[in-house]
Amino acid sequence: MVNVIHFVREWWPVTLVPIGFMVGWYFDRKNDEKLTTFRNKSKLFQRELKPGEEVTWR
Amino acid sequence: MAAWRSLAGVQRLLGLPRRAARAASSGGAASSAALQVPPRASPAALTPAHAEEEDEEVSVYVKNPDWHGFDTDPVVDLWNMRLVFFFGFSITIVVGTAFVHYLPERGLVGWSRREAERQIKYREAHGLPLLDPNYYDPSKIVLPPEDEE
Amino acid sequence: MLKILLATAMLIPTALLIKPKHLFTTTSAYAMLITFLMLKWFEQPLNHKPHSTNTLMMLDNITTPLTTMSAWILPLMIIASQHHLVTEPVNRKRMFLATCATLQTTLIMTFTTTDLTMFYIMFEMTLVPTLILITRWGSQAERLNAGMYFLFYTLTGSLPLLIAILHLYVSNGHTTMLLLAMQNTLTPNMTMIMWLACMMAFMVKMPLYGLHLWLPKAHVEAPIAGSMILAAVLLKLGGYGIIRMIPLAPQMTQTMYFPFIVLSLWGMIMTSLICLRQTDLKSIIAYSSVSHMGLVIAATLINTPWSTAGAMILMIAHGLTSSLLFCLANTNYERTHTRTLLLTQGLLFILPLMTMWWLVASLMNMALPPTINLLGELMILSSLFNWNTTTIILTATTTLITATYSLYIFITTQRGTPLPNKVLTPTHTREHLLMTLHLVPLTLLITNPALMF
Repeated sequence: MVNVIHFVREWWPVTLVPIGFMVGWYFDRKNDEKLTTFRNKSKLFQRELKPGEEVTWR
Repeated sequence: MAAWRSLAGVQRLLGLPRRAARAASSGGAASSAALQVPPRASPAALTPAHAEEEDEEVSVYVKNPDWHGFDTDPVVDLWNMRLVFFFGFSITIVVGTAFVHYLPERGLVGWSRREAERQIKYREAHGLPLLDPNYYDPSKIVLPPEDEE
Repeated sequence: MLKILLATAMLIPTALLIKPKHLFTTTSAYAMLITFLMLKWFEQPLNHKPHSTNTLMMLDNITTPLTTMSAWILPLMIIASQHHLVTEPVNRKRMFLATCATLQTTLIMTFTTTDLTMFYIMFEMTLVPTLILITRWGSQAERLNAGMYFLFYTLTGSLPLLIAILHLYVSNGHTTMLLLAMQNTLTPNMTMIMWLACMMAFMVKMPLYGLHLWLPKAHVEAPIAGSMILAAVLLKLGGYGIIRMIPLAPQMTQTMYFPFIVLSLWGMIMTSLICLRQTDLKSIIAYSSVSHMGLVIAATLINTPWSTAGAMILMIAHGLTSSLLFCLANTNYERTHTRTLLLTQGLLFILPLMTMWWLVASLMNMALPPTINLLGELMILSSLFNWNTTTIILTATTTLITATYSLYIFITTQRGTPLPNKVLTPTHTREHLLMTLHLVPLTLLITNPALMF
């Protein structure tokens, strides 16, 4: 038990970089969701959806 | 022996109480010196800059005959070396190179060449001209409606 | 995108909070891991469009190689600095690593941003950690002077850029680089002053011959990590900026580039000749950077596909090579405590394996055939030759002098008789690892140069 607490106290800063990665992942997802508003709205590049296709990209 | 030494390294690196002394690797004098040197190497200790530089350059090898140049503490030194080698070579260079090698081709040079050969064969077989002045078929282009916004 | 950026940013608290025992190990291992994750960026969509976009950032094939290289330099900086930081108190080590990580974060943002205002802010942000690196961890008192030169040259050079960006914002309502390049409303009313304002910041940063006086000072006085990141990445910010800015004003460039190309080509010869007369090891490498960057300036200004590709390749190759040379100079400096060439002769007899690294590094620097240095130089040379045949006289002379001073470095450090009464410590695993980690990417890129442009 003591060992576990000691281990955590010694090593918790190591998790900061993976946490940063995960938070970045979350914000990337969020940004992409924001960009879905403009999905297939371009006049130049828009196309008909194929049957069975919901969106052009996700 | 080496495995036992690395095991001892793990438990010291994790900060567990020390059960086994580091097995001496070579030289009686060196190992006895290793036992006598106080753990000055703990980086928390405040050492004045450049005060005992000459002394240190000699003593590091006395303390740790197989010094890798990373740290004065032999265990930290060894593990620093191992981790840097692992992440530098095994992960980034070996796996990274394999990853980059199997990526889809950049610039599509090979694909365009294969596609060109395929097109030429197709067009020659069907008697079509090799190059068409229109890149897109003009009948297929649909212009956007004029009344939009 | 943000995955990598935030992970890199989290290196700063990691460096500040982790137990002193694991400090260097964790930061260097994580920095390498981040580089590995960054390799994902080389997966480009087939339509060559910028990818991994969000509202402020994007990746394309100019950004990706430069960013990956700067990410790779970070662990190498940490490994290279471990010896000279060993006598410092732990808080200063933490500050050092946090400064490096800050520099890395701002560099990634500079390279990836799409917005000119953001680009400007981040471009200036990189000055601060570099200045701290130079003026805090440099080894001599002249470092303060060097820091002044470095700061004020680049700051003064880039202030007109700020005004130009603000002007663009007022006239266009936005400062997105991609849109500005497409809009073309800019070019007709773009005056000479405007073009100069856009380019001068990068010309100083590159540096153009005549504006290069900050560079040898900063390189020589900086600690090893500072020299490495300066030579490897910060100079490339200039090339990157020129490549990004030229699509904004292609017509103006056609009329304006003559004095700059002439200066850069002439400066290449001048700085290579200066190299031959230096007594200071780091100074030679610094001037050789100026010489190589002159080629990059000329190539980016004529702005043909070949020359831009060559400029990219030469920037990557020079980044790794000059960083390697600074590391080698630093291993000598840590042993002999002098950078004077006359006092460090005959290292072949003392450190034979190090001689091999010196040989390979010198050969890379003088662009021996299979290396990417040669590939970049050849592409630039041939595109310059296509632009104007006379340039071949200047570029060929430079190549010749480059080979001469590379061999001069090698011969003066390795041959000759070593000074007596010098006790030199043997080389470490760390140093060989450092050289190998520079050379392996350089060698691997020979097999796949398409990664760089």
